[in-house]
Parts: sequence; structure tokens; C-alpha cells
Amino acid sequence: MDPSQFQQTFERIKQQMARVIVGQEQLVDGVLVGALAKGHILVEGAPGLGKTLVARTLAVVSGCAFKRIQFTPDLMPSDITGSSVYSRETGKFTFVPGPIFAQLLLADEINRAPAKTQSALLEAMQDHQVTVDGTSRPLPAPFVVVATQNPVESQGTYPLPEAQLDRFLFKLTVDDPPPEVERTIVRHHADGFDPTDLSALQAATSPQEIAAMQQHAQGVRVDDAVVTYVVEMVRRTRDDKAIELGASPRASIALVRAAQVIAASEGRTFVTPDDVKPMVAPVLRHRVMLHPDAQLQGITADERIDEIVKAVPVPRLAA
Amino acid sequence: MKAHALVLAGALACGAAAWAPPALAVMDPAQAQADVDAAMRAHAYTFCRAPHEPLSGDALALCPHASSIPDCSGYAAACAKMTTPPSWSLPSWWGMFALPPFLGVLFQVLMWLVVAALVLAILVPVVAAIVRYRRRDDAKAKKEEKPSAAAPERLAELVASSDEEALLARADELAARGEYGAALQLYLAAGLRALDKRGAVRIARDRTNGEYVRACADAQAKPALREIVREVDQVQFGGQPATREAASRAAQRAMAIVKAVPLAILVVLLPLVLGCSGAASLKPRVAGDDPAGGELLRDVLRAQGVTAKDLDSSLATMPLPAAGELTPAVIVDVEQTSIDDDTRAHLASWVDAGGVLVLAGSPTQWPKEFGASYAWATGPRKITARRLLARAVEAEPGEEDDGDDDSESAIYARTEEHGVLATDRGLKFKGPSENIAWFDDKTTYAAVVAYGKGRVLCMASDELLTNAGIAHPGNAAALVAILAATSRSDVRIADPEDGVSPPSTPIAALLRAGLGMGLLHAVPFILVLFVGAGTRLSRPRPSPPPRRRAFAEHVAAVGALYARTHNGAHALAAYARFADERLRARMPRGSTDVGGFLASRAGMPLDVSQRLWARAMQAKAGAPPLGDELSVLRELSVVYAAAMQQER
Repeated sequence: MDPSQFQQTFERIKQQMARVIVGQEQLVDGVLVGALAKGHILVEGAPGLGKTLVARTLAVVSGCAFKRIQFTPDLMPSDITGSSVYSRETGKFTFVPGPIFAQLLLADEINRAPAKTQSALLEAMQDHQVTVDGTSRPLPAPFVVVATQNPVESQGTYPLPEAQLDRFLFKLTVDDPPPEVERTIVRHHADGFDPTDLSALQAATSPQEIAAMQQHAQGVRVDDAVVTYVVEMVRRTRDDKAIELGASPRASIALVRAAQVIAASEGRTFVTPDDVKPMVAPVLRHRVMLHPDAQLQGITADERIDEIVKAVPVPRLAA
Repeated sequence: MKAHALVLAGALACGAAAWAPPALAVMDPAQAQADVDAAMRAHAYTFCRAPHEPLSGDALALCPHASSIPDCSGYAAACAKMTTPPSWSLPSWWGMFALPPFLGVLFQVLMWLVVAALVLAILVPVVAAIVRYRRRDDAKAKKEEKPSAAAPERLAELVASSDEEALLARADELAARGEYGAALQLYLAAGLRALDKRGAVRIARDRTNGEYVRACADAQAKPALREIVREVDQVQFGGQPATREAASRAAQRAMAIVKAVPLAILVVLLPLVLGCSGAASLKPRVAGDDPAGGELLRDVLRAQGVTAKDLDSSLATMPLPAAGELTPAVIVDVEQTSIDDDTRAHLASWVDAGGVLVLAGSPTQWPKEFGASYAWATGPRKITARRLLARAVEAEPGEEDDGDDDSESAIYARTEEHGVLATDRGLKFKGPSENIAWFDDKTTYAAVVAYGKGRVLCMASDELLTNAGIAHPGNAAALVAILAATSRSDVRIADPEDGVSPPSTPIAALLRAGLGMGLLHAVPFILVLFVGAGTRLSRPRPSPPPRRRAFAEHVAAVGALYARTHNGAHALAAYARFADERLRARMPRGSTDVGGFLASRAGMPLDVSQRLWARAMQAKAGAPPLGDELSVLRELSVVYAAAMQQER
């Protein structure tokens, strides 16, 4: 795949998604970039903001096999991964795959399930395989988890453990749309749009092409200066007084991978700091744990990350 | 006539008539020349020996006196220098090469352009040096405050300490040497520096090249900046080799950005410079070096026993004389003191109310009420002046002296004074006037005009008030004889700036000062400057997201609520539970003595700590207040803070 082909396909997917998703460009971009970076995306926002619709639309547009799991407090890990069922006819245990065996998995309201169930996704997200009864089964490629969660302040939620959070490439936040966008959304629905019926959408690409795009993005050049820039930012999260637990090296890797996709989406074969910067907050915001005193003072992770980004000089004059 | 004199003599003898006081009995024309000589010696005035050159127009007009004044060779020489035509003359055919008049204006404009360029040539390096010095200080401060940062590279130092022109020049040098990568960086830096100066971008170390392009407010420079950024990024991050073509393209675009100086500023600046023109002589003026100056007038008047002072106020605001008030006479030389309409009107009113005014110079500038106009003498320019001794006020027969309708008679000295003038200008009046000085052909040179309750002493020219005019032998006596007609021993002399009424607004003051054109040019210049600087300052910047209410504010608000409801016990109980939870989390495993923990951490006596803690734990919401809740709460909060600080 050449750079221009990547750029055209990227734009085509976005255009198709824009037919359904109104006023959530950042969310659409984030999900798409996350998917092409071989990452998983955590989307947080109040109910009714289109989180699920974005995932479903992406599945249709990309042509990927789509499964949805509605996380509930009584959901069991085997409900996700699948389990071995005894067959009376054959007298053997047969593995019945769970919904996780999909190319695009929507884990809806993931924080409504307890930590044990949430952890069922860990291996799948990290190694793209599921181990049941001692047997590891690979997941189809591409494999992307789009998880949605309500804000942790909501009732009946379980905060995701750090290990689980770290598996997500991005954490995207969805805010209430501005009035004009909300009017457009309502008008869209009043004119007959049915969010449960996406049959009008056309697949803009294929799973194979998605996989090829992922491969292409990984080959985008990252200069040492950009790597240093990324590492410096991530390291500063560990030295920040307001942050109790900083981001891990996995965050640096995620940041570079996301920047590679951004660069490829613009038809470039190299990453610039300009590609890195907008990805910093989505990559880091769920990977840093604020100090309790900072939380009491009303400081948010995004604010600290913003300060860190401002404090790190952009690589320049490296001739 | 004879009968009138007899009547006057009789009145003087018997006191039947009222006498105006002989106020100027001290003014003696016979002493005037001696007074002039004494003043010249005492003050060593140089208008004769070494006058200020080049001579002013007024001084040039007085040149006929130069040869008549003793020891005035310097003034005479200066006059000769100014009035003698050059020894050489142009051939007649030279007229063929005469320049068209418009070229004079053109050359003047060019001259000012050169001056403006010189000023800029001086100012720009100075300002650039100051800016460079400050930036170097900033860079040094940043370096000191962040020692862990990577060592600044050579190019970074260059960028931090140079302006865009220097960066461009340096980039060209590097490109010429084949260091295209570094040259590209400097071209970008030069473009950014120029745009930053114009307010189109804001340079910050955390900004990426892409952010500069997107934020560039200069629509014309944006494409060029984008091209440069593309070239730089490809080399710096794309691993592509820097080529001469890339450096050349970047150079062209950087040049386009840097050299695009806002023409509007130049357009405004140029007329501002040209509009504020003014001729200033390099040689400083010294008192008494101007033949047309007025130093001798004051000296002679003072020597004559007259109190001569500057007016020190505007002619337009002089208070009107009260009835019977003997106000000082005011001398106004309209050749030196231009008077406006308001001032003219006020002068007429002032004289009408009883003031005594001396007007010298062009009668066209005087109040029209006085009815004076020019007349021209035909004979030699010699004048004869008579000195007023006294004025007799005769009461009408059979009436009491009420001072209003009485007629006056003037008594003059028998002797007459003679002076020589450089001008033949005389005066004529519409109404009655009293001749004080006249030319040989009887053309009036100075006369007194009665107006209302006051008088005006009119002099056809001001040369008798000037140094050269007074220094001419005989003129001082004539002047004293003329001024005796004011009947005042107190005189105020108007300065050049006294002739205009006080400005009503600051703008009017500027306009009167001749700065109107400059002000007109300054307004658009300031507007451009304001827009230029304001654009940068008013550029929207991302506002920080609204913060949640700070915990401290929350506590303060809750505390205020408790105070309003007089429920201190609840506040103390709540705070004690909060402190208990926090402290126990930090206490050693198995320890339960919070009071002891507090004492050890906060460094306070154990019994005091335990008593304080016991009191705090006793507090319960809804319990009747004991009155010490707030003081205990405050004390506990201090101890708690100290303990937690120790913990950290």
C-alpha cells in the first residue's frame, strides 16, 4: 500500500462514517486512528452521545465482523470468551466461541461488569488470542475492541483496573454536542434516520485492507528526535507532583503508533511532532493516576497532561 | 486757545479742577540715552558686536540703524553680508538651465526621506540590539531554570539571539557553504521571527511547525510558511537529504515573509516625519544678541523708574479694571505677539473699562474699535515726539465732579525729542486722536486714542521697542517721550505667547502649537500601531477548562454555612472524623493512639495533644454547643496540617 492509497482509504472511511455520525469528528477520528494503530479504544461519556453508534458504524464501513457485548454485573468471563460444552452425541467437549471472536468488538458499558469479567479481555486485547481450558485460540485479524463506559461517578459502575486501562490505546471522552449540532442530530432523526438500521451504509474498505493499512502505518518513519520528544513527555508524567502514578513505556509506544497513523493519514511517510501532539491526551489520560490531593483540588488529568505538553520543547534545530 | 490756557492755569491755581496725578514725572527723555549706554555696558549685549546670525527678518529690517549706532560694526557687517549681492553673477544663458519649481518640492521630499532613512538607520540597530540583549537574557534565564534540558546547540543560540534579517543572512551563508539542512532551519526561524514581530504567530517552544502554519494570521504569508515547514519537516523528520533546491525554495519563501514590511506603517510614518518639520538653528540664542530683541526696552524703562515686567498671563484673560483702578499699562508689539480675535475683543473691552494699552506694529492686527490704519510718510524718516507732563480733568461749570463727563486737557513739555526710524509707516485714525509723535510731513507716528474709560497709545511700528531701534542715538529719548503718554509708572510687556486666548481643550493647544499636521498623522499611525499590537493581543487563546470548585473553597463555604446556623459542634465533629480517618491511615500498623501520633508528628506536648483530640472526638452533630468548638477546630486544623506536613 502506498501513502496516497492509505490517505484515500482513510478519507473514504471518514466520509462514510460522517453520513451517520454528526458532530463527533474527534470521536470518529480517534476510533479510526486507534483501530488502524492496532489499538483498542475506550470511549467515556454519558449515555446517549453516540458512542455505540460510532462503533457499529465503523464495523459496517470497514466490513469487519462485528459483535457486541453488553456488560452487566452478572456477566461471566466465559460469556465473553466462550466455553467448552459437552456433546452427548460425540461424547466430547466442544468449544463454543464467545462473542469475543469478532474483528470489531463493542464492549458496551464495560465498567458495569466486575473486574473479574473485565479481565477476561486482557489476553485478547494484548495477545489477540483467548485461552480456554488450556487451549489458546487466536482471534481474527484485525481485532479491535471499542469499549464504552459511563463516567465512574455513575451508579453501579466498577472502575477499570490499571492493567486493563493500560491495554487501551486511547481513552476518548465524549462531551455534549453544541446546540447547533444537537439540532442537526434531531433533524436527522426526524427525517427518518434509524440508528438501528445501517443498511444504507456501504463498506468503504475490507478487513484485509484494514490489516494492510495497519501494516503500512507501522512502517512510517519515526525520527529519533520525535522518539525523544515522546519519551520526554511520558517520562514527565512520572515526575509530576500532581500525578501519583505516571504512564508506562507502553504509553510511549502507543503514542508513536498513533502518530504514525496520523502521519500516514496525511499521506506522509514520516512522523512529525505535529502528529504526536494531538494524540498525547487520548493516550495518556487514562494511564496517569492523579494524586488524591490534586483530585481534591479539582485538578484533572487532562489539565496536567496539557501542562506537560506545554513544558516539553518541540524538537527543532537538529541539523 | 489762549483763553483755554488761562482757564487751565486758573484751575491749577485755585484747585477748582481735579488733577490726574503726574505719574510719569520720573520719565525723563534727557536721561534716556545715558540709560541706554549704561545698560549696554552693564549687560554687555552682543547684538551690536556679534549679533545672532543669520539675522532674522526683523533684525534685517532694522539694518539702517546699524551704521548710526556707536560700536556696532558687527551688526553692520552682518547686515552688509545679508544685503550685499554676491560678487559673482550667473551668465545670462544660465536661465536656460533653471529648474522647474516643482523640483524644489521634490528635492525637499527627498531630503526628508534621507533624514528619515538616517533616523531609521540609527534607531533600527539600537532597537535590534536591545531586543537581542533581552532575548539573550531570557534564554539565559530559561537555561538557568532548567539545567536538565539538553545543551543548547549552536543554531539554537543563533536563533535566540538574532533578528530575522540576521537569520536570513546566516542561512544564506550556510546555504552557500552547502550546509542546506542548517540553512533550512534558519530560513524557517527567520520566517517565524518576522511573523512573530508582526503578530501573525506567537513563537513558543512547545509549538509545532504545523501549529504555526495553522495559527498564522497573515493569510498572505501562510502558504509560504507552509512550504518552508514542508521542506524542513521532510529533512528533519523524514530523513530526506537537504538539497540545494530545497534550500533555494525555502530561501525564496522566507525572503517573501521577512521582506513583507507593512507598507501602511511606512506610509503613515513618512508624512509624520515630513509633517513635523521645523527649522532650528544650531547656534544657541543668547540674551541680547538679537538686534530685534527687547532687552533694552526693559532696561531703559527700569532706569527711568518704571516698573517693567512681563505680563505672565494671556492678554485674553486680563481682568477688567475696576472703576478708579490704576492698572499697569500693557505694551503689546503685535509684530512679536500675534493676537487672535478673542484677544482683540478682550483688549477692546479691557481698554473700554479703563485700561491703558500700548500697541505697536501693524494696525491691521489691532482691534478695529480703535479705528487705526496705515499712513505713509513722504519725507525723511525722522520723527518728533512730545512728552506728556500731565492731564487736567476739568469739571463742567455748575456740576459736581462725577468723573464721567468731564473733559480732559493734556499738558506737554516744551522740549521735543527727535528720533530716526528705518520705516516710513505712519498712522491715521477714523476718530479723534492725540498726536504724540509725527514725521516731518506731519504724518502721525504715535498717537493716543481715547476709548471708553481707557486709552490706547498707538505706534506705527515696533522698531522703537527693539534693541537696535532704541540704541540709535536719540531714539531712546523719543521712546521715553512717547511712552510718557501712558501716564503709568507700572508697565507690563506682553510676550509672544500671550497673544492667544488659553486653549479650551488639549487638542486646541496642540493645534495652536503648530502640531496639527503631526497630530493628524499621529492618529492613523497610532491606529495602525494599535491594530498591529492589538491584533496580536486580542487573538483568541484557548481558555482553560472550567475548574471544579477547589476543595479549600468548598470547605470555606461549608464552614460559613455552619457559622450561620450556629452549628459549630457539627463542624467540629465532621472535621474530627475527617482527620481521624486521614491520621489513622498514616499511623503505624497496630497503633491506635491518635493523640500521641499527633503529638509526635506536630511536636507538641502529649497531654495537650490528647486533650485536644479527646475534645474533638467528643463533638457530635446536634449536641448543644459548648462555645469552644471553633477554637478547637482551628487548633486541630493547625496541628493536623503540621502532622501531615511532617508525614510528607
